Amino acid sequence: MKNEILTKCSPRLQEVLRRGDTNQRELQVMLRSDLTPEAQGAAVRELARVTGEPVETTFGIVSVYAPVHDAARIAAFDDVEWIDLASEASLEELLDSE
Amino acid sequence: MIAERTIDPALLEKLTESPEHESIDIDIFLADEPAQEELAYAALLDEEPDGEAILDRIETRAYASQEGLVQMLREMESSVAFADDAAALPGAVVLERFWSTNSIAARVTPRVLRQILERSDVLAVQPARYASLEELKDDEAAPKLIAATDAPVLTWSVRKINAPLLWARGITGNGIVAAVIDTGVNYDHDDLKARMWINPAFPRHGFDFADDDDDPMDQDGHGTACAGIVAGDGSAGRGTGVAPGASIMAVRVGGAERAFWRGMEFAMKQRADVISMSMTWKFPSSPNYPGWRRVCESLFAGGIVHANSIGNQGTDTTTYPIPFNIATPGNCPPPRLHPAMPIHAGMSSAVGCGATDSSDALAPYSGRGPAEWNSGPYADYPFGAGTHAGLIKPDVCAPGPGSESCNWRYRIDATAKPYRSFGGTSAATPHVAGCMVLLAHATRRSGLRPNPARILEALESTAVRISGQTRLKENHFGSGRVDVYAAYNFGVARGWWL
Repeated sequence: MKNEILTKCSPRLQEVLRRGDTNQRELQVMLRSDLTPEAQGAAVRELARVTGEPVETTFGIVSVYAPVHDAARIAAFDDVEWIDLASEASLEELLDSE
Repeated sequence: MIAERTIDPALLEKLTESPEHESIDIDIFLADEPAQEELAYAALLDEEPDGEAILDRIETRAYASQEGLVQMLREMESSVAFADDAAALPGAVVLERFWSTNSIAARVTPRVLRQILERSDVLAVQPARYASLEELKDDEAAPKLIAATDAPVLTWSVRKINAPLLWARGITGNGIVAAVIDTGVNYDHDDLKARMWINPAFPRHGFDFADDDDDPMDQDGHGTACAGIVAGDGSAGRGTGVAPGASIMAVRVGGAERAFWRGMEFAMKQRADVISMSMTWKFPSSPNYPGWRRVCESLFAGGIVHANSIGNQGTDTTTYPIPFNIATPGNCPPPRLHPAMPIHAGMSSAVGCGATDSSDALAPYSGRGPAEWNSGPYADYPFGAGTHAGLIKPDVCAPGPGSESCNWRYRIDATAKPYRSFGGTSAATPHVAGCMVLLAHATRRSGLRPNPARILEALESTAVRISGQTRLKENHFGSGRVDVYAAYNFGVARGWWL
């Protein structure tokens, strides 16, 4: 994979890619922040063409379910700034009470 | 087509339901905001601005900007909009004009209201009952809580940060919406039920993004405790709320990062003024740091005032190593860069909140800065292995350990008591958010929009030094423990609010 494409992938996604993982995972694709709403819509449609329908788009971050190795194709889009794997955490981990 | 931004949802409902022969009392806010512009201009001047001259200019310009609308309303006054055997009703009556808020109080028929909403010189229209009801709530809440100042029913932490001194000046958070993004809120709790955000489209006062339904009822207790510190009004006997006149928007989240982001987007779209979030994603969970930074940048761009916890991992720097001890999004940059910060780079919404005790000592567990931003698209606060300064965190501290708040089981279990103890940076954060709500109220009362940078500057500049703190702002301590009365006076002296 080209270096400039790899730099758009988070370290843990890079590691998963290096392992040759082919599983379907939830990817969070962050689009460039300077896109107009129209350009953002076009980018989401383009992502949908490659990966299937996005789960949702929030603050310009598109959640998609796709095989991990698709990250390389997604990262090649000019409008994509960053890709990471989605995280989950238990409630106990998230709360900041004593 | 009526633009959504111009009309209060309750008024929209009234407009739909009211017959044409019924008058509606409204407050019309003009699009021209001379007060805001004058203050922005004054801030650019080197010399001390002439306050009297500024007020004169604001008054003159406000009345001038109202002329077109007033002329239209006066014409409607003399035209009978509806007549039947009982009455002849004028289309509009101008009740009062206000220059400080650049608004007009009027009584209009639905047809005239629709015409008003089409006008480009109108920013917003609110039902008059909204303002008067809020004033009534002020009266209702203030005596109870002020009386509590003399009795042991006002919890210590609220007194510690001097919130009651603002209530005595009529600043209770009235008209300000605080989104509590958390485990939900028990909106039936006596202290919260009159404080819940009202929107006909969301009948249970918010939304549940964890289960994707419209009922954000608390299922844990954490969120109710946070809401009680922001705005609990003491109805069950104990004043735990910093801003007991505010409205609480309940936003339940959990599980996935995108549920949180959806919750934050909801808060912004539904016009919350302040976000209080006492949940964070910690280093071992491998959060999407750039994603969180982007979210906080969007909130910043949207003008949202945002208090966030920083985590309780200050004593465990092995599992949670510095510069990742501060959990995200509490590690995102604040909306104002303190002069003591070695690196001045990107900004976002997140005011990271550390925890202090009743003696102003730092809670040992309070998260430890600095934070680092040095990968992917955000490489503006490098830390390295200590070769660079990183981003100072937290930003401010507030009472955490030993706090008290609402018990979510109250009114659910017959035997449950109304209050509970609460602590951590989870408790500190709604204290800071409550202070932000009060300062937002003071700003709004002055006819201006709440400004996250100014609110933070006021809180930071007047914060009380914490035991061991040696600089104006430093890692572990931030700028110190907040004192909202001092912060209020700081802003008054600068003309930021009245």
